[in-house]
Amino acid sequence: MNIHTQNTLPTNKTRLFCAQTQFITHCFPCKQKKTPNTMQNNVKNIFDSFNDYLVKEQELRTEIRDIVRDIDQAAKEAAIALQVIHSSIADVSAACAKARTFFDTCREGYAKLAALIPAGQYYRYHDHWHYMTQRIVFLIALTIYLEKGFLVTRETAADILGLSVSQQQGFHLDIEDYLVGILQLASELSRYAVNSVILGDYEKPLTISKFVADLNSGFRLLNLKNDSLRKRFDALKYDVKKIEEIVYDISIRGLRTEATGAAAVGGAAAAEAPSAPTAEPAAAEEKQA
Amino acid sequence: MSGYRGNKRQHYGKGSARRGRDHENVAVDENNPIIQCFREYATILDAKHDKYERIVKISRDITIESKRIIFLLHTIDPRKNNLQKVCNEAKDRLEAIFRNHFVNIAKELKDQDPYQYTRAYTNGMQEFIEAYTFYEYSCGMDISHWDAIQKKLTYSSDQNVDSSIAEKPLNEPTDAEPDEQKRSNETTGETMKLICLLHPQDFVLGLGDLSGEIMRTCINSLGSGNSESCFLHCRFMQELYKGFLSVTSIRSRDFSHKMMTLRQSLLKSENVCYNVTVRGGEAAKWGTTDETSGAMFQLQPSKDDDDEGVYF
Repeated sequence: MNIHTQNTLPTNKTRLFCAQTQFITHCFPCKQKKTPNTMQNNVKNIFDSFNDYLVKEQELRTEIRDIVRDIDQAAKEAAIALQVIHSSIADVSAACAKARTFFDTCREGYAKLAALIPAGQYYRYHDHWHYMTQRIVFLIALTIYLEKGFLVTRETAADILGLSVSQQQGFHLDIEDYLVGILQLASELSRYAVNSVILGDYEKPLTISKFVADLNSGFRLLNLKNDSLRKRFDALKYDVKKIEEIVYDISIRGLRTEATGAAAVGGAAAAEAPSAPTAEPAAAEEKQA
Repeated sequence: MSGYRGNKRQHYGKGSARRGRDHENVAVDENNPIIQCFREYATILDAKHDKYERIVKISRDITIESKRIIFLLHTIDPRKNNLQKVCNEAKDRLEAIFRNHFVNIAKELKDQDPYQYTRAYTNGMQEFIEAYTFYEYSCGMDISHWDAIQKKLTYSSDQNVDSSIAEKPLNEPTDAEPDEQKRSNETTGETMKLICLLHPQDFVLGLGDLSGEIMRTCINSLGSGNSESCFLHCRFMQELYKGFLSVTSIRSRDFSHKMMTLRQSLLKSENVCYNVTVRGGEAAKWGTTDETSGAMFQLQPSKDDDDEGVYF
């Protein structure tokens, strides 16, 4: 267990436990037949301490909100920096470097959050930062894809933000947040494929198509419940479709050499129907590459 | 798009609708790093969902048993003089819930962040709180503070799990809330504690449900000719309503819904008391079968949201 994170809020124990000074043991407290007038006079106590509890929670939530706003700001800046990739091929590496500086700011913010959240209450306040975390995971995944061309693992993404992946470590990167972030990456890549073609890079859509097809088969390994992650996953097939159409368009117009063409069509087919035997040529092609 | 591609595409609808049952016969490239990662993620997600479903199952059992206990408590009838007997039975059954059900939730929550799974057992918990507080109310005890119930939901694993912690170290690390103690190894070096977290909000919502039962008790006691206790029930509900009114800044949609139900129950029982006052206990009872005054009990509360529900 990690060290007890400091509680910035003054706790007023006396008020909270005013209702039960007696020692509660295993057995029920013996029944006192009360006169009706004194009966049930502690409803007020219960609600008083409930209100205290709410006020405390409220204060903490306010602090969380402030920190989250700062992190969100840095994430926005990173997102803006990365938009360059859609308009110019030359600036991609510079944009990635710039985005990485903003991730450092996010990292500091997350450290502050981690110090603020009491141990074992991550999911109590999770709703304040989960959207933001999803977006940041997406930005990290995009940056790493642009730099290296592979999918960021959950560990690496957590590492960049200074988080851990296991719940026992306290403040961690929730797996569903990570997965939603990756799904957002697919949508962005479909847009990136379109713009690559506009900018005259006819090879990029092929690699993207292969990558997104892999993502798709990866997500099919998961058993999803009917939750937000599932809904987001349902949108993935449209991204796959979009990218395939781009590959189809440039193949049909002979905008690229014939050799890669056949293999890429095989790859696209594999993406369409993972159960089809055409998955093998794609794999073979990948080994050659 | 060619028709051929369109046909292929229809696989998608089917593929994503399958709940991963026949993933086994899908040819995936196991050497692909993405696939390897996702195998691992699938394991994590499955474990989480399974745990959630197990807790939901336990919660359902708690709900069923709690409803039965509430029904049992409604059989208390001063004319039969069975208060003691029913209370004892209810007490035993409530104890059994602690012993058999909540301890299992606590086991599931071991080393987990309990807030991740509160949604899984919130219904069972609320129903249980309703039963527990109704038991206390019916037997003439004060309503417990939630900390007292939280203590009963704290188990230590060295004893037989059928008993709650009877002895607590004096240096309890209760920082802000009892769930702070959910550490696997206590500083005192004693065995670990299993905690089934009671969310205070669940407690208060359970209290809201209690109002409905008390309204029923109120009307039942009128039926059994015990009209003076109607006023007591009514007063208690006014207290509850006042408590609910005092709650501000709560982040819950259920809360306002509960509040409306509470208000309706309150109006019903106030109406009963009114009838008792105006006509005396007997007449009010006959009034329930009478067409004209029977309408008094179906009184629809006014839809406007003015808060003049508390008058003394």
